[in-house]
Amino acid sequence: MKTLSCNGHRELAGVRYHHGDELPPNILNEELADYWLDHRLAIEHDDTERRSLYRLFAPFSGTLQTEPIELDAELAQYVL
Amino acid sequence: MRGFALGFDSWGLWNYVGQRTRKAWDLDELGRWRKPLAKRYPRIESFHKELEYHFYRDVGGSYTPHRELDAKAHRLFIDEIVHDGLQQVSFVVALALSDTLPVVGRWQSWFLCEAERASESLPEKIRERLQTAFPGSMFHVAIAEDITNDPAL
Repeated sequence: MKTLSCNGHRELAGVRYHHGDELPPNILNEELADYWLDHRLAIEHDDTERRSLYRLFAPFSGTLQTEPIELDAELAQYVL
Repeated sequence: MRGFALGFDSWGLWNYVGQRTRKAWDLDELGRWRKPLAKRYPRIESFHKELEYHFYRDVGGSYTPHRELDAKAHRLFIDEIVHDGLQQVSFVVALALSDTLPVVGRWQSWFLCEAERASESLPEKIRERLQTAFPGSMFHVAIAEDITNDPAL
């Protein structure tokens, strides 16, 4: 799964995202996400480079997409 | 502290501190230093947040409308108001100094004067002038004697 982060400081749907902030997975549809990537408005990260906090903590962020926390080290790190 | 007061945050702060110290700091560590400052000086924090808001402009047209920070204009504005403020402080200090010492050089926040020895009351006198000109503000005034031309050395 890919993680999108904001390139530059932007305000989208009334929420301000500073440079490097992760964009919520459901905020842009597929077509718009491509547009943002093509125009360098956002940057795409592979999940080995940056995992989505929105997906990892889906019950709290309200996103429909989820990503499991599997590693013991991660569970310990997040005190879960 | 200066980076925080000038409204730098995140990568902007990293860039600013890195340039001034010639060192690549850890971004998270800078964030940890910044946090207590933001708590201690909430008015500085809110001033910059409010100011930043006015530099967001509409972009993306009708296809993907959103707002984008005009970072260059924002930084330019801060640089200008800081420069103007420092100039005003500088003028007031120069006036206070010129009463007793000949000012040889004036830079924004420091002055070069020619004198045998500065009077002990001079820092207080400068501070008083600054307090009168900028009520409610605090200034640190330090006087150093350049001993490089001392014939005794």
